[in-house]
Amino acid sequence: MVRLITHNMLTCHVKNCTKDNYPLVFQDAAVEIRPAEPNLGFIERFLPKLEWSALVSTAKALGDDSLPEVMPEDEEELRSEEFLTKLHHVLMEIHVEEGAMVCRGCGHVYQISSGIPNMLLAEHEVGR
Amino acid sequence: MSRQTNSTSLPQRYLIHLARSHPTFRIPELDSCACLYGFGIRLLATGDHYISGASQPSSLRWGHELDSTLELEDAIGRGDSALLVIEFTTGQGVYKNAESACLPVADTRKTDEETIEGFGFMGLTSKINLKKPEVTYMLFEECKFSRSRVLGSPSSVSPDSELTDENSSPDADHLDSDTIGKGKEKLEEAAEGVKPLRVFMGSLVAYGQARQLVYKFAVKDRKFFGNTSMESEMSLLMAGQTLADQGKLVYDPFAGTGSLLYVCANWGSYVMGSDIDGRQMRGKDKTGPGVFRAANQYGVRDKVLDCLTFDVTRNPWRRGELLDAIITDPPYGVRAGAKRLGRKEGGKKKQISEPVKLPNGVWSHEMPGYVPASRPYEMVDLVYDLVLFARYMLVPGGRLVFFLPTFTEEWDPVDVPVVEGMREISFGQGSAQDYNKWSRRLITLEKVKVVDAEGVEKKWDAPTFVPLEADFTRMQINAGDDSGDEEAGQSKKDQTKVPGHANFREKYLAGFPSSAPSTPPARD
Repeated sequence: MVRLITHNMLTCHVKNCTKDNYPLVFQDAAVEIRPAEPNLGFIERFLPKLEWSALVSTAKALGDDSLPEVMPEDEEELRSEEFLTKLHHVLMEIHVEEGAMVCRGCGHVYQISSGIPNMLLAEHEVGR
Repeated sequence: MSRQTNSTSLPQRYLIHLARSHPTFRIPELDSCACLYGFGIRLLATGDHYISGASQPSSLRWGHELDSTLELEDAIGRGDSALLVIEFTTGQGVYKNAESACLPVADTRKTDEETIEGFGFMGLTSKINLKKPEVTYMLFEECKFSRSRVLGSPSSVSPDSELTDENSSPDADHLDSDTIGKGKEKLEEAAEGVKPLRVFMGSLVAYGQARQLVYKFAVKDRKFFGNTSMESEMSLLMAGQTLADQGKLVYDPFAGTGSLLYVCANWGSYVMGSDIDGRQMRGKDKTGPGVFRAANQYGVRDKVLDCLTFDVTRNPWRRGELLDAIITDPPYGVRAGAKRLGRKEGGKKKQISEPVKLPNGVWSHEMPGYVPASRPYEMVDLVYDLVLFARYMLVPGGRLVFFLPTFTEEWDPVDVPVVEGMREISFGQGSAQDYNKWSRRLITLEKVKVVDAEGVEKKWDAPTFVPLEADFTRMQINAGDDSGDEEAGQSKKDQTKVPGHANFREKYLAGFPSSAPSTPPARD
């Protein structure tokens, strides 16, 4: 159940991996859609912390193109119930149950098994 | 005396009867409730008197001033401390005749009716309906107890007779069990001449609603738990301290079996957990990860955003200020020691810096079931890192709530790292569960906004998680000085002390060797 809201907050953290380390790319993703009770206030509050382009490209790769390429500039549209509900669906209802998240920079593969991603680093990636 | 006649401008006075277990956790929880619901609260007595439950056994209920009754009803629906609340309008002088009111408990039982009749002076003339009362009046007598001289329990006289038993001996648990069983005669004899110090009377506002959650979240009935799962009452008290609420985001970096996540989710927060050991969260059951099964059981699966396996000292969080609260019970190294990635310095094997290819051409770290090497995570490092991590990850006003195990003899309030931008919230001597030589203390820190001379809010960097080694001076341990500026830190260097939680595991396993005579266990 890696949700896209979680995915949006995660970056590759291998020692010295600083280029193309975000966003991680889903591989062999088994997607599940699970309806969730919306809390639009929470979504609205999360807006300033969101990486929009990362979210849109990731959602597209998983087959959801309900979001516009560019975050609406019009505050009223952005904070409208209709828009926040769309966003709620993408952030909270799309789950990746199996597969992996891969770093485009260093190539580290973060496996996802039963909805829990393994974000542990290997011994040589830890650094001191 | 009816509560509908409340004046909204004048603060009302309330008496709140609290749960008697874990007394030092109760006022902080009530304060957190007040904080969350945004109403003012003022204790009508000094903190120490009411906090030290062991030495002042009769003090676990007290008077308050609150802004309005409605807010209190909200709060009592949430706090798991309060058993009942009455709005009191009358203090001393309730009794027409103080002498006759001072009935020892043994006599009171016989003369309930007489006692009730004694309230005739109040002039309540409407129809009596004990089954469905419109207003319930309650009366509390505060009595002084001493262990050398067993005194009778104060009686609570209420027209609502079903309450009498529950309240008849509010302080019984502070008496030794053998003295309680000495029989009626003895009690009668001992109770002679007892006079209440104070009398509170008022109408019942509400019963606490959240106490039942202690049973709802009982670990023994949970679908998934481990040997270090936090018990439900303490989990609830911790969740109260985080101010968990609808639409907030709460995170546990040492989630284990997720005990603290469920209670926060119960208050409507979204929660996330991580642990260096994924097996802790998954369990052995083939039907799916245990944390999700337990979340399902409590109907909060939807609130668990995600659980992830990683070492918090090597964490993948993209940015700071994502979280409203961090709640955690770090593994303190007895049953399950804290671990971090990397090999121990000076160990048998040196940490590798390049990947290793196995003879079959596969990278060793890409083999199924690969578990990276880990080393112990010293408590002093962990606690200090946790505070800095919280300062980075929390939004201003966000809270860090965690348990700190400590060698009681070496404990000092300065053991909690003082850093600029984090403020400790504590009452009296703080909240602690005492296990004689060691104790665990519940620490609550709040992130405060720091603004520079130009009015720009200060942003904090992610911590480096570099071990402090023996260099405790880096911790700026300086009691009462939270300015955090470097000069102050320098001048206090001489005062640095080794925290009571340093090398906790070693001390625990050695039985906490001490030169001082051991003290009797404090009651919790």
